[in-house]
Amino acid sequence: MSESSPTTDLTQEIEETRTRLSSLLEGEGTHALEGVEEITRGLDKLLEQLGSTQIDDEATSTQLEVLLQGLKAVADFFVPRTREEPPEPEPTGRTSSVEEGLKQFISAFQNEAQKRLSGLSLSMMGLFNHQGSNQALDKSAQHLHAIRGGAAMLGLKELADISGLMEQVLVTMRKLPPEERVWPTKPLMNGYRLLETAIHASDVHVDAQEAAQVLSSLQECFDDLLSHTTLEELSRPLEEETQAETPSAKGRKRPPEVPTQNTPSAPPQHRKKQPKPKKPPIELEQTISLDGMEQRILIVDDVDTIAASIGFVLGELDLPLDIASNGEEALRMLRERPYSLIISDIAMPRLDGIALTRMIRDDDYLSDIPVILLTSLDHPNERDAGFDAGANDYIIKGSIGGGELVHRVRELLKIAPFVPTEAVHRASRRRILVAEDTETVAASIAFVLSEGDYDIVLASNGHEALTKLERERFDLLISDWQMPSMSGYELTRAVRVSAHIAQIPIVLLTSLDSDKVRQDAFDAGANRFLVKGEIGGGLLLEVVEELIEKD
Amino acid sequence: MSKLVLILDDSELIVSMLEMICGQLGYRTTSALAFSQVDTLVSEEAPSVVLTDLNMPDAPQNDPVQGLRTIPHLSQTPIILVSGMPQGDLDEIARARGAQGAISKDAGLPGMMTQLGPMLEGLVS
Repeated sequence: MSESSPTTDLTQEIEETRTRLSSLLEGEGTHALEGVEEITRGLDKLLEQLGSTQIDDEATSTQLEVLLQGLKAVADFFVPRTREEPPEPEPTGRTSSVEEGLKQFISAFQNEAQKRLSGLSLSMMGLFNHQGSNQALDKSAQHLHAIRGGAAMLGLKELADISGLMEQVLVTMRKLPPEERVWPTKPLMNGYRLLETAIHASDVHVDAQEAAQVLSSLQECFDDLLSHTTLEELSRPLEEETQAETPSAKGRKRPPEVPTQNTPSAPPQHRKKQPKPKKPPIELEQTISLDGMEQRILIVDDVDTIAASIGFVLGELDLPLDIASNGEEALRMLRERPYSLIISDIAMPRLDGIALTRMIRDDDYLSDIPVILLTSLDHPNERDAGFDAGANDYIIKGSIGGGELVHRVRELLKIAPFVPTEAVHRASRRRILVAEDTETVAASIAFVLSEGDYDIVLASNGHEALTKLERERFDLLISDWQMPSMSGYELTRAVRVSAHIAQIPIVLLTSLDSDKVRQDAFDAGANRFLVKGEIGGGLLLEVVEELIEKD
Repeated sequence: MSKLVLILDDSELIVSMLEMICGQLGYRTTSALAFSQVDTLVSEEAPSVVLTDLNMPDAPQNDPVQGLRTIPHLSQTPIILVSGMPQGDLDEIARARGAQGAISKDAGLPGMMTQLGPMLEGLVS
């Protein structure tokens, strides 16, 4: 069987969309749809042009894909409304009419749920960012809320329970600070797939066993979330309005019941939240293959929807994914944290995929990361350039299905490095304590150090610094010489005689440029002595890197 | 002429289903998909009861009851909250917000009809 080209696929999709839109003009009341007629005429011209031309550049291809998505959305908006208005109620026979209406409403529900699922599939893409966007959370919860409401009224219990529990997970996640959100990708994706399958089935059938499994994993996530969420967080009003219902202070909304094989109708569990003094990091995902290690994928594409689609397809792998919108951003992200695999577009602003691949291969720290180039550029020259740059695979967008992409990614993951999990990565960041009584100087030191992958903690005098050093782990101390309460000199001496912090490298910073002060500093135990005003940010960073590396 | 029920919900499907239930129970209905439409709608004819989704996206302060009370024609009109929340929780919220009744979607169409009949009858009589 021959493979279809991207141009052929696009042409087919445009034709299908044109057919859907033109069907609107066949019925009554078409006078209101003159705009649609205009669109179909425009599409005729476009199809004529496409019939005689091959799209050979990615920019045009992408523009057409975006145009097509917009037109599909227009078609989705009009066609179901025009064709499938909700049925009129029967005027007599109360109970039988309700039962009859219930059946008729099923198809209306399917139409609405399909639209909601389309929206959900897009909004859920925003969740692949490890911190998640509030807007994506709100929109996803709104779609699930609508599906849940319709399903509940129609007695579609499994669908109502699954969408309701997915909504609850998202609403609770929304109440957490972004940096504490860790996504239960697999249960959410499984929930989505189950909803999708059921809603597209003629009888809205749900496999009971599968539903029970999905509900169980979602419930586990929800319980885990609750156990790491304080009352204060649960009751905290959201920064922006969310579609999720906010329960009263006492009557927090409960998740729907989770049927099990033994207790198909177990009553909903009532949970009482106990505030906790300190929250441990949340770990919901079971993606870790080695202790504290995982495989993490970076998707690079300047078209949000394409990046989102790739993320959606790869959701099946149940691995954490991040998205960069161009090569430059990808490079920055790669320097901030390690990744196992990169899937990159080629034609992008700022830094294209081939240059990005080349830079990765030339970098000692990044060179072993497999790179897949996923592009619309279907030319032997481009392909050669991609492999020459060091790409492990070169895939033409539209030439393979999602399953094949997952397969190829899975194959490369076999040789891809494992990287620290988010929690481990955060914990492994080097911590620097800056003791400085002048806020502006402290801020400028922190600013310079923010260029590196460090966590900076400030102390406003020697005593405060010593207390922090004794209580927390630090990898380096940078201290001013003159400070109230305890000077840098005194602090250095105190550190060097304290058993468990004596080995920490110390940089003393001062405005006093004299041989005596310099000698005193080294006598006290400083590793470096730097005079303010004589060193630039670059030098300070170099000194810090050198000392921490040595340490 | 039968009593008029205002249905407020941002889902066309839910509105359609509630219209059917109310129709079966012998009430006329008027409906709005957005809170902002209510003011104009009720100026033509004030409803006897309002059935509103608890979660109307454009309701002031996310509270449709409070928002409806600020509309002159509806300051005294009985309000019934509709939601997918469990009935017990929903009843509590209805009491806290000053709604006169609450009905959970979890009851399903037939169950909602059974509950809504006496509820509407009690409120409009």
